[in-house]
Amino acid sequence: MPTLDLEDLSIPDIHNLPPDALPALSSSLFDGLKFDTSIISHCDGSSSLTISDNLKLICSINGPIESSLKLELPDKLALDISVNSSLSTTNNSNNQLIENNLRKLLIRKINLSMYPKQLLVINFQFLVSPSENSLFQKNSPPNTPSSSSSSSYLLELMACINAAYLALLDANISLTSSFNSVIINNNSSNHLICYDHNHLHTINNSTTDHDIIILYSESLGRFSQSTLFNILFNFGYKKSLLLNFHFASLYKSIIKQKFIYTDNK
Amino acid sequence: MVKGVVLSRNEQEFLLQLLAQGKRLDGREIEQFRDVEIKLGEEYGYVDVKLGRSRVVVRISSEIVKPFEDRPFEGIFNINIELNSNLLLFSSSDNDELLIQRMIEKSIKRSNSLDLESLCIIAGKFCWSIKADLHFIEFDGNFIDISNLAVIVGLLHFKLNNVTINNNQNASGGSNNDQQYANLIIHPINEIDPISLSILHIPISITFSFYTSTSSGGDTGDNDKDNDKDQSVICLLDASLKEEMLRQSFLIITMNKNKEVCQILKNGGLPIDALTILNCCNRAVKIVDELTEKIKSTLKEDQLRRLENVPLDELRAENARQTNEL
Repeated sequence: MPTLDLEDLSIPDIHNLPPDALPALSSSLFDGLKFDTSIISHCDGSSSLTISDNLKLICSINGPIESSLKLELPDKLALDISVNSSLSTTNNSNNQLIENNLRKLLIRKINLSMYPKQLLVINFQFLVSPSENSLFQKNSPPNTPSSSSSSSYLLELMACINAAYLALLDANISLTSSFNSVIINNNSSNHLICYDHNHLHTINNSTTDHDIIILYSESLGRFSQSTLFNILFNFGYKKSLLLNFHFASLYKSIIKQKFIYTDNK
Repeated sequence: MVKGVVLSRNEQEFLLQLLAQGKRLDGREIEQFRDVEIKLGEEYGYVDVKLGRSRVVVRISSEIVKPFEDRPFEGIFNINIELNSNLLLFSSSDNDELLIQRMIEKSIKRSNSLDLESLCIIAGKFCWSIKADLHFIEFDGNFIDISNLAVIVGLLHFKLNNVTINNNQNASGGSNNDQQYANLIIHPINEIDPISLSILHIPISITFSFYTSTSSGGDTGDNDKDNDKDQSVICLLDASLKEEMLRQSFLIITMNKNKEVCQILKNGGLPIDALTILNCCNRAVKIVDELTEKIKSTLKEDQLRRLENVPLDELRAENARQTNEL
């Protein structure tokens, strides 16, 4: 991903943006981020997320379904999360880490008590992954160091969080609040932050006073405390807010298509 | 079978009656193949194939390994299919998975479509191992045809890194394995152009589904006793998911453009006339021709797109000769 200069940050007031300006803004800010929902007809909810040609991810959700006795929880929903690589030869340690982090995050965001004794199966399938798309690296002899594995992990986790959010909405699963994650590349560090947009009524484009709630943050590289705080409370939050509006605009159009019928023919 | 797809008895009977009348649910003709959409990715070996609503993504990857001891002059080709751990919840046993894997192996590997000897780097020491990972994204029937098509397109699209063998064995230190690897120089794709795989022919699988229908001679209902009920066999091409659930038998023919049959598999208990199989072969030839042309044109378009930004004139070794007319 291209490096963003924090000094050049000038995000306009997103609450007063014309509707046409949002896609153009997001494409420049989110480096070719594209997403779509309801791509698999046999699933209860699905989404796809593409970041230029570096990453392609599909998330599918099946459930809430009847749980097996082994996984069943008496008072809440059980989650079965699996992350699959696009190539069978790659090692699964990154996937395990992503699964664990996603579980921690989704347990807090899904309204688990709404679905007691049931199971939600969430599958992530990478079609293209940044850790695999280097031909030379892949074919190099053993013990060759892979420099980009840590940053690609952050990118993969970011994609999984956002894809999960879209797929959960598509599957009509009750959530406690909306959330999304952004990745910010500084000159010497990479930061992944997941924000909670608890008090934000995005469908109506009306906002109330909202606190900045950080659900998850992970940073890699060398950076100062002031840089981190600037990213967490200023740049990252604005970027997350913009992404949230972008997701909302997608769902606004879906709701208009699916649920609002007009006789304008 | 995919989760949540259940046919009621009424639906089954309706579908069979429709087929007996020569009609299909999606409005296609009995012998009509659905439109195939092939998308090639930016990375070599990434292919996204859609057949109607069925969708398969294939990733081809390669690595350098030691060849099998009994086949020191050959490379390795593996297919990896995981239906159960994928995006769709399959409730079937491993039979489907195994069938698809066997079919691709028979069509591509055993018909010598992929020249395994060309994958050998140093006999008995190093060879390329090619792996095809299939991801099933959407299922609406005919998985075998689409999987086979996607794998062969992936192999045609995939390119291997150029490898040179360093004959100056001056590598000192390290283990024996490191020394062996030190003799190989794997060139990145921006240094030396990668090499296409040696594909000798393009095998394409076509599946025919068979149904029996009890068709009566005249109008149904009034004179049931007088009607002579015949059991006629309906042969259907490119069955959809619902049609697949009802079929009594199926025939998979893999052919190439040279009208060579690479493999035939007939599954199911329904006996099929030998002439019907010959007719199926004749029908398959036309479809194979069309699909082969489509594959070739798609690959050519991709190649031209990649060459758009390459200054080919500057890369030419010879200069344009200017004749001085004195």
